[in-house]
Amino acid sequence: MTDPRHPDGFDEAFRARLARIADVLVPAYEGMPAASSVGIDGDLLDKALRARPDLVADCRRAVRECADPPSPQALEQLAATDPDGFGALMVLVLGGYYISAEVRKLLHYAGQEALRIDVGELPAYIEEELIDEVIGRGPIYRRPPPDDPQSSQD
Amino acid sequence: MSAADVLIIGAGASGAVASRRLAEAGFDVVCLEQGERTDPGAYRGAYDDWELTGLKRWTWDPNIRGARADYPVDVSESDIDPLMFNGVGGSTVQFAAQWPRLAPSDFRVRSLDGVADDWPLSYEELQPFYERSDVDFGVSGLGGDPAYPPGADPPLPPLPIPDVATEIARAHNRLGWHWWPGTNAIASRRYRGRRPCVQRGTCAWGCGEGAKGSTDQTHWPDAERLGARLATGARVSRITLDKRGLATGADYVDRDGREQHQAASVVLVAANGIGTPRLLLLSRSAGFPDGLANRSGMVGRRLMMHPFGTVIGLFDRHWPSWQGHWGQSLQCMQFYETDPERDFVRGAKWGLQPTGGPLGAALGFGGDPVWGTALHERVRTNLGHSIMWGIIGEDLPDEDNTVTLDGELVDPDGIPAPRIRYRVSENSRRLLKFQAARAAESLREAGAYETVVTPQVRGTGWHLLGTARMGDDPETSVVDRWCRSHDVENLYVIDGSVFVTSGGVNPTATISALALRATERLIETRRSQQVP
Repeated sequence: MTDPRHPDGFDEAFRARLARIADVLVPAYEGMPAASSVGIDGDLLDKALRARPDLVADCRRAVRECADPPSPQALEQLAATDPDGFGALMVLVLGGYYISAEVRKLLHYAGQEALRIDVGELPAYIEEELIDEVIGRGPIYRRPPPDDPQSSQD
Repeated sequence: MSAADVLIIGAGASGAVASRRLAEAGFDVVCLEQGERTDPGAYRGAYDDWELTGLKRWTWDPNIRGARADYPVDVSESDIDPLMFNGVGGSTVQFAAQWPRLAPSDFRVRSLDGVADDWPLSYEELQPFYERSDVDFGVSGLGGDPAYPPGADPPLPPLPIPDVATEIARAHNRLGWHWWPGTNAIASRRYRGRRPCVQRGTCAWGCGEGAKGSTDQTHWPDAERLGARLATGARVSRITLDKRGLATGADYVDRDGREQHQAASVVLVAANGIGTPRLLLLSRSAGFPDGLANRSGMVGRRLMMHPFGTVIGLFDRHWPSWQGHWGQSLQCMQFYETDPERDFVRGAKWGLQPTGGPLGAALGFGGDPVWGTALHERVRTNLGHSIMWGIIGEDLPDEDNTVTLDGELVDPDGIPAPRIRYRVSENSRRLLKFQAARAAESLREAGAYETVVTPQVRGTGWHLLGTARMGDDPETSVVDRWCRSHDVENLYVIDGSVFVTSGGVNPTATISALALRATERLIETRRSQQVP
């Protein structure tokens, strides 16, 4: 029976199982946390699912198909036998992971920020006369012959 | 709606250019657009799910997006997937806004290189329209590029470039290679009501700032203010003819599924290099059993999509490699022209671009996602440490690369969908291999400790060209030098379908200039224009 709190079937047991898979996809490594330790099975997954509701069915199937506890070999097998399901897992788990504020802080990635630009500031390629060298090398385009029979006519 | 002087089918780059100019000249214009208007506030660039939504809701691939406005495309016989956006602004809503022109030699590839065909017009003929389009779209750039003949400067100064791009410029000077600050249809200052670029790096997923020159920002507000009537959710199924063989308008399905007819004295088709041949083929009749305006048999042939190459350079230094304009910060035309010493003809333009966020790095531009510890290694080495040359190479026309109608696949209104057959040519493969090797050399000279040449991937068909080519000979071309059908006096094709050859650059500057030129001609010759 479907848990009414989780109409997509992503109940707590399912999420725990997904988190175990997520830790194979995104393990702890050289200062970066594993997926489960930043809460991939909670808000991050929900956020990823809101962005990609089309992946619910593929994700559900993939989690159920994958051996539990999962191993790298089990995921390689899943990728071979159900590429759509594996692809959905990758997008949702990795997508959720990189939304994590903790992960972004560790990566020094604050998202796509709005920056103020100042085009009045002289660019280095002008100030250092780099562009003058390009100009100095002269035109590099080929000009078709002027007596071209198909040239402009009205 | 009441009969119009001019019906334009498609509200993208060329449709918007024509609508605005015709409305300005006092014509009563109706434009039918199958998609909808997009609120710039809907774009996700400023939100943390932008990479996730960019893979579905804001993907460039209509087969993946599957929106109501989209039509499916059968790509089972294609090496490349065609990409587009269907809505007001068309694919300019999601284009990168790189704004290079074709080079003079592009108009004469038969004469100069003995391949394909010459265009029936020259660079010099198109140059005034390029310059007017630059003003209309609010182009940023630096005049004097030696890759082109002299002319007017872009109306706006170039956008800033990252330090690593300056390092690449220095490297090219050491190599004696061309480089130039990128030309982009992105406002670098306030311009005609548009805000300046904020370097968010998400141009190709919709510009929420309104800085990018998508025609929903640059042209449609003026066109509608001048009286052009724009109907959205209106999918054209057929162009109609009278007994004399003149176009009388078009049948379309409105968003409620009702069949409608729009009458007009002149019809302009602006539905892109897939949608236009699809519509002409759908409009076959007793007089045109092989498709409207297709006595040459060239409607739907010679599809060109620009196989795309990328080379990523990895650097030790750290900078926000995900920011910038996307867009191009530099462009390189060093290897654009034919060199008889090489094993291919023609060449390519390179554009220097940011490399996106962490999910993009993890999934890989070349479609090679990684996981496990390799995931962390990939993201650590790419995010904040990489920049990319995007390579657009000449795609020579081949009559066997086609758009036809699918026998089974239909769009949401039950109208037959297009099927494309497209094979990447041997010339393109050799060209891209050579260019990628040079681009890697560029990045290494600039200090990259490693370069990554991504494999040819399917989802790179941004440029849809050539399927209703122009020419002087009605036996071998669909439209004349003014984009008017050889077969139907009051029917014009004004989008990228008319390209004779593809060139090796992003095409929207040329599409827009050609549309403006064709529209001016239509206005000038209106008194002699045959109408139903």
